[in-house]
Amino acid sequence: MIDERDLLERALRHFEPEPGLTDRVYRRRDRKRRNQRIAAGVVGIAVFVAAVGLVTTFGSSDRTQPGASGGAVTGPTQTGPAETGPTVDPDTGWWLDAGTPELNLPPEGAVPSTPEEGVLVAKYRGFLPSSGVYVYADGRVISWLIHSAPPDRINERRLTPEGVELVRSGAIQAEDLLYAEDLPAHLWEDPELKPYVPSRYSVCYGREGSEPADPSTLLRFFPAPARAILLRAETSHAARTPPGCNGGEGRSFVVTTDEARALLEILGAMSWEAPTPGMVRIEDSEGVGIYWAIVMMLPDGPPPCTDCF
Amino acid sequence: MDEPLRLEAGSESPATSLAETASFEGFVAENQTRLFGSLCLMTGSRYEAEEIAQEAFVRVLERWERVHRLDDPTGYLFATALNVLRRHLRRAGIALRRSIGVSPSEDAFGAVEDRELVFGALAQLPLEQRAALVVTALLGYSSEEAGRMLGVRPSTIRARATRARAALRDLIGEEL
Repeated sequence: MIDERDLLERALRHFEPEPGLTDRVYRRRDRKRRNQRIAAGVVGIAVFVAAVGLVTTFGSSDRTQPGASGGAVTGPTQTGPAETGPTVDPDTGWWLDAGTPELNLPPEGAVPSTPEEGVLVAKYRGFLPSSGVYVYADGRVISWLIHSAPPDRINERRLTPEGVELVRSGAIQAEDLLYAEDLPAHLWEDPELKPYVPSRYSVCYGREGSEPADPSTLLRFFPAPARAILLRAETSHAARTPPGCNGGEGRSFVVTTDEARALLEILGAMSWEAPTPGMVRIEDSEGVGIYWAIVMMLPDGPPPCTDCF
Repeated sequence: MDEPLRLEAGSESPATSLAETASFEGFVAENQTRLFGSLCLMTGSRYEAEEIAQEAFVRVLERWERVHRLDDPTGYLFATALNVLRRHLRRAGIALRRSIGVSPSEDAFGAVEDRELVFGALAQLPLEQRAALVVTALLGYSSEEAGRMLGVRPSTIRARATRARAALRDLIGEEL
C-alpha cells in the first residue's frame, strides 16, 4: 500500500533552494519597486504628452506633427523611445505570432546583430514581470523588460571589455544591467539602447497529443515550399539544432530571418491559432494535427523553453 | 479569485524595523525548503520553482507587517505561491508546450540522482493532478482549501487527487 504523503515527503528532501534566497527576495522586491516607479513615470509622461497634444491640436491645427517616436528621455532605460524592432510579447514571449509577425520579426533590411554567435558570460531571468539580461563575451548586453502591452523591445547595447570582465568576475550582476544608469558610464562602450536584430530563428514543431511520430511523418504536414525550407535548414544547420525545442517527439530547425519570414507567410495562411498564443496548428486531411512555432534565437542559441514567457 | 486569504487594501509596507526584518528572514529560513520542494514537485522545474517561490516571498514581504500577525502565515505563503503558479501557468500555456515536446531543459526530476521512481512517476502526471496531490497529500490542505488556492471546485481537487493516486499506484505501486 502506498502512503502518498510519505512518498512525497521523501521526494521533497531532494530539493533544496540555492543558498541566499532571502537576498534574492530582497533584490526582487527592490526591482519591483523600481519598475513600479518607472511605470508610474511613464504614465506621467504619457499624460503630459497627451495634454500637450490636446493643446497643440486645439490651439494650432496647421502645425506640423512631431515624429511618432517618444520624446527625449534622460539617459537610456528599458522604456526607451518606440522604434521598430523585435519584441518580447507578454503572452507569446519569444514565440513568433503568425498573426502579428511584425511584432517579432525585424523590419526588412534591418542589419542583424554581429557577430552571429556569441559566448554567454552571464544571464539573468525573471518572469514577474518578464525580464532578462544576457551578457556576451563580445560585450553585447541583450535585455528586455516587459511592463505591459504593447510589449517592450528586445534591446542591445555594449559593454567595454572591462565591463565584461567585471560581469564575468561576479562584481557586477547581470540583473544590474537592466538599467544602463546603474553602471558607471565608462563601462559602457555603447550605452544606447538599440533593437536587437536576430539573425537566426528556431522552428519547432511536434505532433498533437503525446504520441511519438517520426520526423518524416511530421514534415509531410507542411506544404512543399515550407518543407523545402525546413529540409534545407536541416542540411545546413543540423549541427546547431537547438536543444531547447528538441525534447520528446518535437523537432526543430534553425533558419535565417528571411527563411523565418517566408515560413510565416506560407504557414500563417494555412494555420489555425492554437490555444497558446504564438503557437499554431495545421492538420492533414484526416484531421490529425501538429503544432508549430518559431522562436527567436539569441547569439548563444535559443532561449530554453523556460524563457518562452 | 486572485488573492486567496486577501489582506486589507493598502497593506504595502515592508518590514521596516530590525525585529520585523529578522522575523521575516526567519520565516524564509523556516519555509523555503518546503515551499521550494513542493513547487519543484508541482512544476517539475527548479527554475520555475525558484521564480514562483521568490515572487511569493516578495508578496509576503510587502505585507509582512500584517502577515506575521496572521494565525497561519505559512498558509498565506503557500496560498500566495499557488496563486502565482496558477496565473503563471494560465498565461504561459506551459502544458500545451510540453505536450508537443518543447519541455524545459532544466528538468527538476532529471536533475536528481538515479531518477528515483517517485520522480519518474510524478513527472508522468498532468500538472493539475500533481498540484492537487501535493497540496492535499503533502501540504495537508483540505479539498476546499486547495480548491480556493488553485481556483477550482473542491470536487475537482478531489477528482484530480484521486486520479493522481491511482496513477501513482499503477506506476510504482508494485515496486515499493
